[in-house]
Amino acid sequence: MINTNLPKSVYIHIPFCKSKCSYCGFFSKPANQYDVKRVLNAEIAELKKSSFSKPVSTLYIGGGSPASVGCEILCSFLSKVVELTGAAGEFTVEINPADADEKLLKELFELGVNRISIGVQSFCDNELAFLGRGYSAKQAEKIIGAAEIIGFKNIGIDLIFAVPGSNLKNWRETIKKASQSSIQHISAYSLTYEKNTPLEKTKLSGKIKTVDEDTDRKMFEAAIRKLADAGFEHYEISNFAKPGFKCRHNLTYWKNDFYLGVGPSACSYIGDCRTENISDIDKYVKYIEQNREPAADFGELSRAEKIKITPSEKASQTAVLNLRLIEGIDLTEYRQKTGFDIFDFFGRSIEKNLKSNLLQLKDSRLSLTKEAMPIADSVLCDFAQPD
Amino acid sequence: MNTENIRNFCIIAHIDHGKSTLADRLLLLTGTVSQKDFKEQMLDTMDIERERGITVKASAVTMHYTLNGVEYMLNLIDTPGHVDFHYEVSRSMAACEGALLVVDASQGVEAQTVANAYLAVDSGLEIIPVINKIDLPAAQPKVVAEEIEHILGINKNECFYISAKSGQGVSELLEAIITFLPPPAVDLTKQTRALIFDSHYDEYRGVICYVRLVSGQLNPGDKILMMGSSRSYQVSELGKFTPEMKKIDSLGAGEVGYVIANIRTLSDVTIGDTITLAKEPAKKLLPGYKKPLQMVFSDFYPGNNTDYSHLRSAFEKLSLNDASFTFIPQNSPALGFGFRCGFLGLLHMEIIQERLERESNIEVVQTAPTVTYEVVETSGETYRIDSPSHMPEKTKIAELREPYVKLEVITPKDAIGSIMKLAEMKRCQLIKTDYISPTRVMMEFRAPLAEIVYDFYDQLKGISRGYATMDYKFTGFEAGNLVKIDILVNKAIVDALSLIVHRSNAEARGRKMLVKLRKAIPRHQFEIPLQAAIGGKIIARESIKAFRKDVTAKLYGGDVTRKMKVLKRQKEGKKRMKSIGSVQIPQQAFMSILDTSE
Repeated sequence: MINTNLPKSVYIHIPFCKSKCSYCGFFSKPANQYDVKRVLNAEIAELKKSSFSKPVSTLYIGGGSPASVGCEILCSFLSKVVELTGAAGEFTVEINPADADEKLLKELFELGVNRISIGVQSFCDNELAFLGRGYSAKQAEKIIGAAEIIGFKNIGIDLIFAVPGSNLKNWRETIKKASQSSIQHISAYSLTYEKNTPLEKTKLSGKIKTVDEDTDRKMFEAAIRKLADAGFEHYEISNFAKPGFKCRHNLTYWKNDFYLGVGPSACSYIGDCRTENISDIDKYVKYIEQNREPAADFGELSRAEKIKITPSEKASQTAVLNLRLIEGIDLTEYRQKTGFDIFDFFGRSIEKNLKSNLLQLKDSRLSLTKEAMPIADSVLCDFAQPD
Repeated sequence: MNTENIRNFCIIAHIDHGKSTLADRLLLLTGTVSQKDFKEQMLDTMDIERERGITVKASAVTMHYTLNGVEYMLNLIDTPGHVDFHYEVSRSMAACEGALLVVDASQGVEAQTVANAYLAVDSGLEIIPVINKIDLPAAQPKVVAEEIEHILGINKNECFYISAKSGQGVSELLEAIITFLPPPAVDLTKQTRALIFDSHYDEYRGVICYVRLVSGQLNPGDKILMMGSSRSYQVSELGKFTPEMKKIDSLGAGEVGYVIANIRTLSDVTIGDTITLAKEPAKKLLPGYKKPLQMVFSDFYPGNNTDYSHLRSAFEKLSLNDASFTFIPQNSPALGFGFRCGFLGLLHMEIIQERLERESNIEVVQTAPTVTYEVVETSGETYRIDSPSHMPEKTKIAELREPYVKLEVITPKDAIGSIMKLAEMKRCQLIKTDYISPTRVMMEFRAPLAEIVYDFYDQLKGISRGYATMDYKFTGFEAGNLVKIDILVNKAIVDALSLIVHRSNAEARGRKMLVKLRKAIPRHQFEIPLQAAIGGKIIARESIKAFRKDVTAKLYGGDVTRKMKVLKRQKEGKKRMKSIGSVQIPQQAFMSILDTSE
């Protein structure tokens, strides 16, 4: 019998990078301070004892910067991963242009990686410098070109807008450059001042002039418009893809399907549980080596937790995540997944937002309107718990 | 007990002058409470009283003390000390023959000392002046004695000098209570008459009435009749407060105690009513209490977790042991069903709100407090309104009158200038200035209540560095050039934000109100125009800009739990506000319109 609870998507976190970018809120540490092989072995051990449906449907290697551990170590790690997961339909590796070269891309391609996600962030050198990325726009373009030549058919890039000092004009240029290059997928994020990052501290100290709300909105709307013109479908609040190139792995999250996360700080959603592994590399390794659950030890863990999701929480999470998709919530699917009619829990909120033209109901789908997109959280929060 | 050996007395004092400490000391000295069981402010039974250091509810405790071989029963009736609680003070006084007037040796006579002393004199009480805290370094007992003589006309040689904290002089004072204060007057009426001066609701035993027996006797099992309400009950228990409740077999003339008579309905007991025996009823009720006069009104609407009936039962429960506030069903087009509540003053209002939330665990949305106005229509009809929304059309109004008070302020003389400035701003008229000592002055004003009801006291404290005190007494309604300011939020009038103000500063107030509102109402998904209008004419405008961007850029597998928490908080924040049309207005916005500070 097929266990429908088994995740079909696996995320593997490589918690290392060469140097931390000022805006980054992800969990990562400098690779040279750790016994990287030992950490990666622990991750293999975790993967080994985890349950998932094999071969996995999607496999995503993220970080940190996976390549920061070095080509050889990364590739030997990935080959062990693939042994365990089988050949994934979509196999993505995140690439920081600062850590990548042709050789690496070639080896990844040969290992069966069929999608790469390049953290370009910007095609403006001054913005790259502000963000502390450590490469130039030219280098980023070079990596994209190399990936194409090597044979990658599915290349995604990340872009950040509303970086201090940026303006609408150079953002439009960045979009133009992006849409003219040979890529299939773009994630465009407004710069977020994540808690406890150096960037947040700088902002709080008042030393930088942040981009005002109006410009930020205009940049977002420009991205939606210009990328549509260039043939990229807007399919999630921050994500755009050429037809057939939506990121299947990330769709798992927004559809609220199950996934397995492996590595320090990685999150999983399986059955009625959301778990988060400990954000401490040494402890993570210790737990794995002692054959303990990396997320189960509550007492001394700062962030790690295992949370049981109640049916009503599942209803909320499904609604919030689905609404981030431009296609919104398929009401029939929603009922099948959660066991509830969405109007049971959110009737009042839906009615209110329909009235204010922030939600639309079409063909049994409930979705954000164009007007709601820039202020999506003020609508999504209505679904964060039942009315 | 022979009434000759009974003394019923209260302690009156300005807030913080040591009333509760003295009461505690008397309890210890008479052995009523052992040192072991002692906790500070024994008589203040509500948490809120201990926390705020004030006495809200009158409470009664019976002590026994032997002097020269004779045992005396001393009934101490505790009284509240705040300006709002004149009514409660008067109720307590009606059950007493004497009063200890306590004045802080370092602070001197304060506005409330004066007000309460006059009330005691009016009630025919014998007064023992007591100067407390004589052991403080800043104590000036002789100066204070002079003040007492000068301002209250009490001979300074009669003063007792004590430290309630250390106990110094308190034994002498205790003896003076017996030798100076008169015993209860012998009432020759044969029939039983007991005055209900307070009541208290106990979840298990029902209503507990605090009574002072004026004549006759009460025994458990007696069929009693409430003379005012004509309701009958059977006494199930009689007792005294020691300060815990202690059962006794009978209650005699002149004594103070409690009566439990299986009274279940909150509204069945009227404070001030007379209890008599059903089989042999008294002919006449005891002289009644002064009816409490509600001066401040505010609407209470059910908040988030509360429904209307829930709020109503909470009010009913509160009204049992606080007869001095009123609540009348009210329907606001903007806020729905709620209650129009009347209070003695601002502090009283705050206490009720806090008790509602604390004791009944409910949330309320409260509108800015206003006073009662008297409307004279062109037809000649005169009536009172306690809400600006009840004001008739402008053309129908011949005259609008507002309540005035006699305001007494006692202050160090160096603050006179700033107090005069404040008074002028608040439309107060100086009647007289009187030096009560070389450094302190008593100022008397004629003042519109509406101006002093909100933040006058806080401002007075501020400009006098905390030294000035005030008290006020309602004197009557007087005509004024008053107008109603309406506030339009998103182009619709929000009745709960309307305010009646003096014409002279209407525009300025209107503008200020909008500025405060703009800050109090969060940005929405759309722009919100705010307008202030007088009789349909817009006098001021503001607008709350829409937020342009509110969206999480990244939401992937690792962010779900945390993001959901953030969104949940966002939704809860929205819920805590009151929806008026499509605008969410937080509770503090309703109060903010009264804030006149810059």
